[in-house]
Amino acid sequence: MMAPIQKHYRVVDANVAWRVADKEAVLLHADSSAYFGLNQTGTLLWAQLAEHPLTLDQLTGWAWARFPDAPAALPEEIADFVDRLVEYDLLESADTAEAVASRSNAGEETPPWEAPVVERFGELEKLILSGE
Amino acid sequence: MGAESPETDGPRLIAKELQLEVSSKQRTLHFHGESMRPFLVEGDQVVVEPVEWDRIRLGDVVTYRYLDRFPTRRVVRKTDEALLLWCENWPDRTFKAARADVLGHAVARRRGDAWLTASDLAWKLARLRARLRWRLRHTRRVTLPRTLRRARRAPAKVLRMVGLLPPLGGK
Repeated sequence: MMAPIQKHYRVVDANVAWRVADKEAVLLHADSSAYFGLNQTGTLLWAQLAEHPLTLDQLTGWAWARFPDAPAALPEEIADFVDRLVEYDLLESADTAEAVASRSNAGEETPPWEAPVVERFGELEKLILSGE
Repeated sequence: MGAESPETDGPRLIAKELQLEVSSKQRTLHFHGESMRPFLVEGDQVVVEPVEWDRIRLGDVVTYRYLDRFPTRRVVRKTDEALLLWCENWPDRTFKAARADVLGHAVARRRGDAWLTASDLAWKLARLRARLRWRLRHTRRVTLPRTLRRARRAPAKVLRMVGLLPPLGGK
């Protein structure tokens, strides 16, 4: 039996570079040189999406498992977060039947839930290298 | 004003380093200054790639973090934990970069419409020429004077060894 077609979200690898510092990710959109910051919850969700494409249901399911005490608004907060990432061209969506095993949370520290946030900081000018 | 708030300075610097990581022929970096002339001149477009420490070779042009800047200089000496760097057009000065601060090495340069890449003969010759210049300069200014100083002291040392001169320190 074929798996149902669902919308999967994945990081636009060819155009996004990112790094985590102090548990919060900084993202760079390479083409526009816009850069963004994620809060701690957003960073955890982003790391999941960077590992493999996920549907909104899969991502929400992962978050419920990771944050059992999160408020009932969690699905909406995650959906808003994902929408913003798509809007900024940091995530792309594709309809696919690909099944993805969700990752275990065992042994990982769980911070308190806070609504995931992506903040657009601005755009960088062309990077200048200097010998001086 | 133009000054960034402390809250965004950190992310901004990280984002700049990410710009280095994604540099390519389509996303070049701008070289500023004359210190690396003739290999790099003001306005050259440069591609920098992340590089593993073990793959950095003498003569490579590397970029490293220094405060909020990204100096780009040639490697003339390498230890386990640091690089000694040199600029061809500033031959009297050397610089040190800690291993943790090295971000990548230059692999291509565009000047006008002309590309030069690390696999081109001209790039390799520039690397060799710079290494030789550094070696000659270092020999002339450091190694040779040190050898001459030692040579001048050698006769007295021999005379002390055979007991014709009293040992140093009056013993």
